[in-house]
Order: sequence, then structure tokens, then C-alpha cells
Amino acid sequence: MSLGYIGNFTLFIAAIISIYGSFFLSNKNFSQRLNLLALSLFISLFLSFSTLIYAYVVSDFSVLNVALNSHISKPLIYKISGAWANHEGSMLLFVFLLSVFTFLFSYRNKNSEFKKLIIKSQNTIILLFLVYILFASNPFIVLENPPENGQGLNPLLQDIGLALHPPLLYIGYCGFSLALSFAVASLWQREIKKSHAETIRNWLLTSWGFLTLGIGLGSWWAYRELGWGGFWFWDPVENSSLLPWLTATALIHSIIVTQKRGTLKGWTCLLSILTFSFCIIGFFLVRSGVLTSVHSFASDPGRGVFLLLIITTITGGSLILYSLRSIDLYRESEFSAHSKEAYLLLNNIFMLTLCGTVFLGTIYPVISQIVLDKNLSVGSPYFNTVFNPIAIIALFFAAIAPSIKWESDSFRKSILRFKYSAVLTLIITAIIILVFNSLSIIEHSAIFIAIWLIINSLHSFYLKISKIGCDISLLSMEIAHIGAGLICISIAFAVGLYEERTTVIKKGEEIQFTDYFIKYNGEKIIKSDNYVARKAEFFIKNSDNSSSYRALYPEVRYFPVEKNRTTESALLTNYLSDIYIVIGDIVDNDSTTIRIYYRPMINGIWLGCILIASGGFLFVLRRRKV
Amino acid sequence: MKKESKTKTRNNEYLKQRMIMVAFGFISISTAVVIILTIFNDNIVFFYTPTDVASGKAPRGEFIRIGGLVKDDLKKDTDTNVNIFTLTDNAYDVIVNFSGIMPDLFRKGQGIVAEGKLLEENIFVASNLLAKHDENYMPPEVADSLKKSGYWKENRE
Amino acid sequence: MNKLINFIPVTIFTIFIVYMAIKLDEDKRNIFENKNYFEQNKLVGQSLPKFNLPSIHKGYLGLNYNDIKGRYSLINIFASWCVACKIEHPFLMSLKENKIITVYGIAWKDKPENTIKWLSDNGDPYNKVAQDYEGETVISLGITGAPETFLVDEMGIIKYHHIGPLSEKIFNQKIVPLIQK
Repeated sequence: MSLGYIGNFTLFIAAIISIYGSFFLSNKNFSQRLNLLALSLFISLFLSFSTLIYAYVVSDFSVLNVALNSHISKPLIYKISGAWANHEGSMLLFVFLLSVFTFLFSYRNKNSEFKKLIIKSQNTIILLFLVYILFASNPFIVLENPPENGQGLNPLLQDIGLALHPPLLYIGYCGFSLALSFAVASLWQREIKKSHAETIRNWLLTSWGFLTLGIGLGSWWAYRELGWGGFWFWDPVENSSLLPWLTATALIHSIIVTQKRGTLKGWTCLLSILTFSFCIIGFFLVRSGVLTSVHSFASDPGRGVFLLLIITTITGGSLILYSLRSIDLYRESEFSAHSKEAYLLLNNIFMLTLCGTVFLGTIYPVISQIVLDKNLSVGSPYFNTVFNPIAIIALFFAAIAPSIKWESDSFRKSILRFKYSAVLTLIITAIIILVFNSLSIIEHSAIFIAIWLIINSLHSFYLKISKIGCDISLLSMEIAHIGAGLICISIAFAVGLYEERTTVIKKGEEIQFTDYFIKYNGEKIIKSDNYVARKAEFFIKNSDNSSSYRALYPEVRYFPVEKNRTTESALLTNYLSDIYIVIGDIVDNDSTTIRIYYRPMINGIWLGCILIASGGFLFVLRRRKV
Repeated sequence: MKKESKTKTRNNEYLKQRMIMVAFGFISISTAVVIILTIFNDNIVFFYTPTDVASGKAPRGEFIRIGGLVKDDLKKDTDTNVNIFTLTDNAYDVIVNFSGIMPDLFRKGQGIVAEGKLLEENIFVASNLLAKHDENYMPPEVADSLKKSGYWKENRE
Repeated sequence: MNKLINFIPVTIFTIFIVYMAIKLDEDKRNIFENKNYFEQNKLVGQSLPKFNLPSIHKGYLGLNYNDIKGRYSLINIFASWCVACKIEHPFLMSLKENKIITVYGIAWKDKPENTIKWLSDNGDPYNKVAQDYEGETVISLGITGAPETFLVDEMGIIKYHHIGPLSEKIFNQKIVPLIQK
């Protein structure tokens, strides 16, 4: 009896439940029904997902998905992560997480018409994806004649970063489904109550935190594993996770205005719809093959059509509702051109602009293929040239907005609030610019803005702490902003002071690279379970003679079965900076090509991501006033 | 009474300011869009096949991409340390020069996209090589075991 | 005025959907007609490229491109590690049992002993089986994975190239018409 049959059965049950939840929740059925519905949906999908995991753990190759993506000799942890590392399994994880959020939301909120609408909306979304999974993307297809072993033993995929990346992202994506449901429910009821906005805000920040971590993890992984020191490539896969992050960042700020002042309701609704829409559009772009059709032969338009239909229903339906009813959302107050609301509105515009430019650059290859019948790609200089300045300007205002009053604030008075921070920022920036005079204008601007943001956040920190009884969970905004500033300044240094050198080095030779002396001691062949490797030894030490030599062992690994080769770089981390050595081809008996990179402050990027996410989580965990 | 008219005037003031904000916003966004589209246009990289190169469709001296399968083993110019290989689309060939470290997945039959410039002698000087992440091939009808379909490993010189 | 602005998102979205739908349709047609953009298979209509592969059985005669002449036949690229090959396998067996068409097998990137075991466990639908352990046929035949199938006519000209598992439907719709011409 194949586990595939059990899996299919649980999916089927889940579909039935979600049909009921989408269409048959009549007005009278309040009380226990909502929570029970959410619970049963969660349980059936939990069983579904566990069945898949179990099939991988026991290597049940009668399940086609396991046969294609697993192998008996895969380490257990990668067998498990293999369950969601493929398309069908990851869709199942996605739907499962949707049910988790639905369930949690249901149990944490008292029954009400609003809650009922949200549960209905969630069920509809889940139902659409379940239909897709059952009929076009089923992980539980059964093989009548199971093979003895699977064919999923690619060592390149066996990596802990790759294993964690999808779950983190999906927790983010699925949490944002609640935002879309919130928008739909609000538009349906033609109102956004401040209490509703407050409720959703916690879910938003949690999801946003996970999404931030997921993106950061992806970038960190790419930096460590791809072997040439880059950390962001503006490729469609990365962009499709950045787009919802940008709208989500706008959303978490816009919803503050809606919650506190009852304005920007239309914006909050639209951003809620857009965020989840970008999540599922991202799925579509990456999996349907429209974007990668130049590069890959494994595109699957059939899968793409179905996803497109789902997106049309969810996003199209929500946007139509928005077009018709957002005008009914009553504006509860007014604000002047110089007010906190105005600054947050400006932020919305900045984030949407960034989103639009990234989207355009990502989508354009498809459009040109259709309209111009020309095959092209959009170079990364476009993204960097357009994105970075706008982001930096937005961060400038991020430092100002927190100290601006609601509704209306005097321009003159507010400028005076920044007198100390402005002076301090200018001094520090001037020093840095003098020391690091090789940086470009945009890098200097980025450093200036980052310090401006960090100093103002610390100032706000200080003001809050000096009030009695302030605890760290009320400082979530400052922490997140400091994280953003840290990312900004880290990128400025990591790019501005980046150095690399490719050279041929002889055994015993020592060369100087930036502040380091690097000595090559030759290489030897090592053998492991499934690979043979060239392992080179380098001694590296700082030129100020303060520390002793440290050893680095970059490798080139050859996998005879898979006929693959990977390059394992060796990293030396010095505070926040990295020295990175990669070995290339052998030149002759005792020489090899090497490439060395110097990435100053690069680890500040990952640290900044963690700070940002922490800010989000801290807010959700804050101790509420009793 | 007085309070009501005060609120009214204040709201009118806000409304005026809102109009100014909208107008200002519109102008700045329009300017931004124009700038963005200009930068956009400057960064479009066209893709050509070896057949396009042979037929003269591929322009010389511009930064373009050429894609094909690696035809035979890698050769290396010992003086300049430049890697030389051939990309083919099973109809025509293009010779590519690349002076960086070769991507891991480089071998005969691998799909490669090279970025760079085409020189007069029909030799392509690549500044960038992209190789498709190799997987045990999944036919589209069955399933996709790629974690990210079309995920590219990039190598620069 | 406000009301009209609110329709902008849905308008942009509709344009996006339309573009994507057109692209998907194009992709679908390209795949159906086997016109893969990147590796346009120029081999259809050409002679079988010269190859000479050893047999999977030691000491036996291998497969030479000259052997594949005289009548219509199929060359099937497969491997013991390939799951999709198992899916098409029953159909290949039926081709042999019903004597419909000769099928030659090339075991691709597969150790001979594994291929032999797989064939003995599952059945051998091939007239001859050669091994291409290194994957040399990648370039000459444009192979990108397993399974793939070629239809070759009596003069050794490649008439059709199918990527993916071969099914009865594809055989009847695409291969049989070419043979009957």
C-alpha cells in the first residue's frame, strides 16, 4: 500500500473542507464552527505534509515524487528537506502553511463577521491551490512499478542553507495571505476598523520578519556557495522574493497610519493585496518557465497556465473589489503636507516605485519576446543604478519621520529637533570620507544616510529609554531602522572597497593582498564518500604582524557519479569583513590559478537582516499595557 | 460653532496642501519614470545564437549575450592564460575567449551563456560566463526537481 | 477622479496577465513542436551523426551508426537511474512484443552492470543496447537528458526527436504519420 494513496486521501479531505469553508459558511453558523473548520483543515493538511515527509524518510519509491528527488544514500536531513526542495512538495508546504496561519488566526480571534470573512477568504485561497495540487502538481502520484532507488542524489542540492530557505520564505508568503484576506474582508464590509488594523499588524510583522530572514539567508548562501563573492544578482528568482518584501515594508508602515489615524485606508488595502499577489506571482514567474525559457529546457507551460488562473482569480478578484469599493473606505481624519502621515505616505510611494522598477526589469524579457520577438535580458547595472539612489533617499526620510508629529507639524520646529544628530552625522561622515576617499559619490551618500539613520534611531532609543519603564520590545522600530542603516553602510563598503585579484601562484610563494600576506603551501588530493577533491593550503596573516598565520583550505571537488564539479571557497572572517580564496585550474606541477576577494563589512549585511527581522518580531512579542 | 468652522478651515487648508502634494508627487514621479526608462534602455542586453552570429545578425562591438552548447574540450593559450572554447547550436559555431576562472559545470555539452563583445574576426570575448545548474534531467512532463528552475551560477573574469 | 485612479492597479494587472498568457501559449506550442529555443534541434532532417558505441555486454558487438539503416527504427536514450524511463518502459516493451518497430537502446551515463541488471529486472525492449558511459553522444545527438527518442529512417536520416518519456499517444500522433509517408 503506497503512501501515495494516503497522501491523496488527505488532500482530498482538505479540499472538501475548504469547499465548505469557501461557500457554505452561512450567516447563522458562528460559534464553534469557524475554529473547528480551521482546525480540521489544518489537521488534514498536516497529515498530508507529514505523509510526504515520511515517504521521504522511509524512501518509499512508489511515490513518484520521492523517486525523482530522493535516494537511499542521501543523508536523512536532506531526505527530509528534499520533500520541499521540489516543485510539488514545495506547493504542498505552501498550502500547509496557509492552513497553519488560518488556524492560528482563527484561534486567536473571537468570532465576528470580520473573522468569518477572513476565514472564508483563506479557505478560497487554499481551495484554489488544492485543486491545482490535486490535478496538476500532485506530489503523491503512485508508481505501479517502483524503482529500486531514486534519482535525486545531486550533491549540489544537499546544503543546509538551501534546505532552510524555502520554509522561511513560505512562512513569510503565507502570513501575507492573511493580509490579503484582511483587505478583501474590509472592502467587503466597506470599512476598516482600527481594531482590525491592529490585529492584522501583528501577523504582518511576523510574516515580514520571516521573509526578511528568508531573503537574507538566500543572499548569504549565494555569497558563500557560488564562489565569486557576489551576494545579490538581480536574477528573477531573487527579485520575485524582493517584490513582496518591498510592498510589505510599505504595508507595515501604512497600517500604522490606518490604525492610529484612520487614513491611508485605500493604500493599506492595496498594499495588502499587492504583497500576497507578488508572492504568488513570484511562484508563477519562477516555476512556469516564462522567464527562464531562454536558459532552461525544463519549462512547464502547463503548470504555468494553472498558476496564472489562480493568480487571476485571487489577485484579479481582489483588485476588482478594490476598484469598486475602496472609495467607500471612510477617511477618519485629515493631515497636512508636513506630518507623520505625509512621510509614511511618501514611504509608500518610494517602496512602490522601487517595486515597479524591479518588476519592470524582471518582466521585460518576457514582454520583449512577445512584442519585439527579440531575446534579451536586463543587465544588473540598471537595477543598481535605479534602485540604490531611491532606496537611499527613502532611508533618509526614515530617520526623520519617527519624530514628526501626527496630523500637522511645524517645519521649522521639526528641523530644530535634528540639530544634534545632523552635526554628529556630518562630523562622522566627513571623517569617513576623508579616510576612505576612494569611494564614489553614491557610496559616500549611502554612508552618510546610513549614519544619519543610525544616529537618529539611537537618539530615539535614548529618548525612549530615559522615560521610566521602557523595555526593549518597545524599541522595535529603532532596532529595525538601525538594521537597515547597517545594511546600507555595509553594502557601501562591501562594494566600494571591494578588491579582487586573479593570479597564478607557485608553491611556497607568498603574495600581498590588501592588508594580508597569503602563502600557498601546495595542494593534495583528498577522498571522501562521494567525491575526490583538490585541497589547497594557504597560510594567511595580517600584515601588521600582530596575529599569527591562519590556515585556509579551499577545495575543488569532483563527483564521479554525478559528473559534477564544485568549488568550495575558503573564508576568513575578520570582524565584519571577509577574505575569500578560490582555487582555479592547475597551471603546472606546482602552480595554480587563484582568485582572492576582499569584502569589507559584508557580514554587516546579514547582521542587518537579523536586526530588521528582530525588530519585527520584538514588536509582536511586546508586553502589552495591562 | 466657532470650533466647527475652525475644523472646516483647517481641513480646507489640508485639502489645499493635499492638492499641492498630489501635483508635486505627479511631477516628480513622471520625471523619475523618464529617468528610469532611459537607464533601462541603456542596459538591455540582447541574446544571439551562433546561427545569428554566422548570419551577421549579431552586432559587433556591443555588449551582448551568446548562448550555445560547449563543442569540445577547453583549450588554453599558455602565454596569455586565456581560455578558448567553442559554442555551438548544432548548426554553427562561435569561438569564445574568456580570461577568468571557468565555471564548475563547464564541460562538453554543457549549455553556456557568454556575455561580452563580438570582435571582427568572429571571435567572442566574454567577460562573464553563465552555466546552467546541472541536474539529472527532468522531462517537463514528469516533474521538476530543480529547487529553482533555471538557477544560474555566474562566473566573472 | 478618485474612482478612476482606483482602477489603475487592476488595469495594469490585466495587461500583465494577458502578456503572460500569450507567452505561455507560445512556450506550449514551442515545446509541442519540439522547437526548444536554446537547443534548436537541427538534427531533424540530417543524417545520423557518426558514432560507434560499445555494447553493454563485454565482448559483444556494439552499436555503429551504420547499423541503423535499412528500415525505420527508434533510438532510445535511457538509464537505470532514470525514473521517467521506467514510465515509458512498458510502452517500449509493447513495441517489441507486438513487433511494431525496432528499438535500439543507448544507456546514457550509466554503468554497464547497472544497465544489465535493470534490463534483466524489467525486461529488455531493445534489439541492441550500447553504452555511453561518458555521455559522448551529448554533442553529436544533442542529448540533454534521459529519456529521449529518435526516429531514424531507412537511409539513416533523423526524422523526429522526442524529449521525455515516449507514450502510445505521442507515438501514434507524431511518429506513425512520419513512417507512413
